[in-house]
Amino acid sequence: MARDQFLGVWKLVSFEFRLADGIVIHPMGSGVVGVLMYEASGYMALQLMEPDRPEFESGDWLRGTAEEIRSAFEGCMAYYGTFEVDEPKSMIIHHVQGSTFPNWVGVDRQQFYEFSHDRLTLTSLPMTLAGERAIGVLTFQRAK
Amino acid sequence: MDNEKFVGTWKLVSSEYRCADGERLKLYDAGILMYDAQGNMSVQLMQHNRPAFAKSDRLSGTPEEIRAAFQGYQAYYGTYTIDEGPRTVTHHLVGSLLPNWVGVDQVRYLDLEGERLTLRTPPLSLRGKDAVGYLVWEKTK
Repeated sequence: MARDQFLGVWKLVSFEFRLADGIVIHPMGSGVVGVLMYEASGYMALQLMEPDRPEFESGDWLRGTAEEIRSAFEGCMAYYGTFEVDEPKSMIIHHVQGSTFPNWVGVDRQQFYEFSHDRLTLTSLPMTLAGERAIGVLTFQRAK
Repeated sequence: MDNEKFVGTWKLVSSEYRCADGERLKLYDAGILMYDAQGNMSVQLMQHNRPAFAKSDRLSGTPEEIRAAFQGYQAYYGTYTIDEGPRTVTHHLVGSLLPNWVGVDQVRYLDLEGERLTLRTPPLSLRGKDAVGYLVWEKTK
């Protein structure tokens, strides 16, 4: 069953935006790290982040300066929820229950999936980025 | 204690941070905690009551929107080890929303009763006060 192929822990290899003219952008830098987990009970969780965001001087979750919070927040994207596989369309649907970005709470995120050896690639639907057509591509490798 | 009892997905039932001065902070009302059989873990905690950004772009938040979104969320992942002696789980963080926690260990005292898991934090600094967090989780089926 297609759903079983997803189960487990996946480490991020790369996160890219591919523009129609062939240009590739790394929106969270080329050093971006992350993890994607799919669990047998039907839950999923994703976290992506830039590793070198400045530390908070206070070391306190609730006492960052506006600048510290902005770089910590904008350099990290996380969400979790349940998942569903649409095998005929090769799409995975994440029903988002919680997200760092409040606007994503309660929405469905749909991506095309492709398995190749120990890799999983999730590709977004086409979108407009700075006036150009683009797709987002997340590549993961199965964790040992 | 074998890891098997922990492996799976846990949903947050309640969270409370008890400050040294008696104040109680309810920072999060939803969340997910995952442990796998290979020793990987991931956690996310959320406050539902955070305003949506006026512009639906994650990178176009006002300072107030970003502060509310950030302070009502916690996320980190890495590996974990369970210690039977002191009954603790140590999360070895690889990534964290709070940059200060990247690469550090977070110890949690644990209490497992059937399908309920309580994780207690050592004293943490929250708004400059020492606070102990009590996070109660329930295993999903």
